[in-house]
Amino acid sequence: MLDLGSVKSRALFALSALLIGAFIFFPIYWMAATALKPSFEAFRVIPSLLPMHPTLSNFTEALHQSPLGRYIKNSLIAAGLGATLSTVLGSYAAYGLAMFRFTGARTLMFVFLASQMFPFALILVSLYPMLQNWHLTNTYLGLIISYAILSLPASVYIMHSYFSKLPPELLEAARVDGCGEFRAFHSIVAQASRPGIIAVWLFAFMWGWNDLLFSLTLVTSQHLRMLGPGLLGTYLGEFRDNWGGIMAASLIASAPIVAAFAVLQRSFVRGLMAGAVKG
Amino acid sequence: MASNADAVIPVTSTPRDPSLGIRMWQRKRGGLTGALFALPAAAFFSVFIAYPLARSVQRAFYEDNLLTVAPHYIGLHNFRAFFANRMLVQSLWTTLIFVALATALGFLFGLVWALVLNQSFKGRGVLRALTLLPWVLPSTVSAFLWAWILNAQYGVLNAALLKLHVLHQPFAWLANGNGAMGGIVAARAWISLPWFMLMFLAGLQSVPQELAEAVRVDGGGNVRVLRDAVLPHLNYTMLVALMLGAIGNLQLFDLIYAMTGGGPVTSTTVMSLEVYQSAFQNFDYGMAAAIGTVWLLVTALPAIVYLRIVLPSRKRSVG
Repeated sequence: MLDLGSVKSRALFALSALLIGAFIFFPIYWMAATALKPSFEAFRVIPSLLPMHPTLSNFTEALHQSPLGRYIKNSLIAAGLGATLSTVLGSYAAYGLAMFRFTGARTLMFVFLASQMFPFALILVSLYPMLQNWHLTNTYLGLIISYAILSLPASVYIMHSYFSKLPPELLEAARVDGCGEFRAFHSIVAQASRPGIIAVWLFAFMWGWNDLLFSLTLVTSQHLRMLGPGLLGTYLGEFRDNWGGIMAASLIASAPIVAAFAVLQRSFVRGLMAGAVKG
Repeated sequence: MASNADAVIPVTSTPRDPSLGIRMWQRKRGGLTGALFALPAAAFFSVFIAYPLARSVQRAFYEDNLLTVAPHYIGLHNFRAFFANRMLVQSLWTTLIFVALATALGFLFGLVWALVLNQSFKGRGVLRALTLLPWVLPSTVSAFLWAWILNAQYGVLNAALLKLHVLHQPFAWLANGNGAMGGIVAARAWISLPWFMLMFLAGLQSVPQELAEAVRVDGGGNVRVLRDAVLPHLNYTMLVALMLGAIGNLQLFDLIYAMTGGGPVTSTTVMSLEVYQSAFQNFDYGMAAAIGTVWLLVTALPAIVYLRIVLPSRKRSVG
């Protein structure tokens, strides 16, 4: 779109690309570089750009400084099941709203869309005593519900937009086959919408995995500690200024979501484009 | 006529209407089945999102803290207390300053980066994919990372500024009110840049080539192509991005809590942290609810603008 024929335009383009590129990628490089440095090298007033004495000791230590493995396991379970709950509920609802006409459908869609503006901390002020009454604090179930809260509205409208773009012939085929509505959904529509469903699940998983607010409030037992609060507790506490360890633990904590994202990158981006999610 | 589906969240303004067939299809089918499909999510939403939210707004009119045996109605007292308390009013300003700066910075960088990645060059696809990294990292990780970069003694930012002789002695970024605000703004802009970029990239891909070419035929350069062809076409996308970006920043809790905890003193205490602290550290649920309700009203402003632009007008019957 831009014409980079002239020297001036080319220089301007290169400069802005370089500046913003550095802003985006240097911090990530720095996280990795610090994680690979032994502490005598990390703690220098003018640090070296490259790790001169690369070591993996920060990673092995990070695994011992805190029950990082357990935090990861806890978060995998809660965020995974929370995402599944949100995807299932969201897909059913989106299908119902996209394919059928019924009173209240429009209002319901509006409510899901509008609920983006509901501040989670305000919901939590009353959700917390509610979950406490039901003995759901310090349980996986309480967290699974909370993580589904994070993503349900987005699941509904991303899937809504996905279903609405399915070719009508597909739906006609399901009908001609004479299967019931629920069977048609499971055996035909859901199969054809797999990329959308995967994208929605990944979004929901990411939000659960990255969550701090609910994880911090709803869990007090060490045993059920989630990743975010676990990292905070460890590295704002006992291992406060161990930056090599902090960066190594950060990389380990990021690995699952980055890996999931790398594998499913295409549907991820498509899902985001299908329905804009708040930033 | 815009279809319901497209109207929900179109990122670009090109009104393709792939769902004409869907609407034909809709008409033929029974509503009860549709309602049954929607029922579980509607029930979950009512119990776990709508009810607690409504309950919280109600709680804002009650005295409900550690000392109250039974919560009782006190009218607007909590709100009066909010506006009489300078620290609380300050948190409202802190929120607005943070949202304005973080949204503007993420928006601007995202737009420029989208223009860069819209050019064709080798390795563009990889670069686009890698750009999403800051956005997928856990907020705790991003908070650690930026706290390390801004570290007073060993931070790489101070090292660079010392080497360039911008600074003569290390600056304790996160121990200074403005420094800490700058820090969370930079970190948040870093996290949200990929999201803005994706929004704009989608918008850019739908700019008609002829439009840009027409400007060039007129003798216009890059600046005029941007001003007269590209940016006007992106108007809609930019407005949606601005509103959604502002809503996201208004609600931000995780990054700020992990990076500064609202400090030093209260210089980065935004509304979300204020609600959290009132409810779960001071156990004053009534006050927390009142602060949160003010916060909700502030968030409603960009939300209403957003809903007005993405939803089709009421007269059109859909659904």
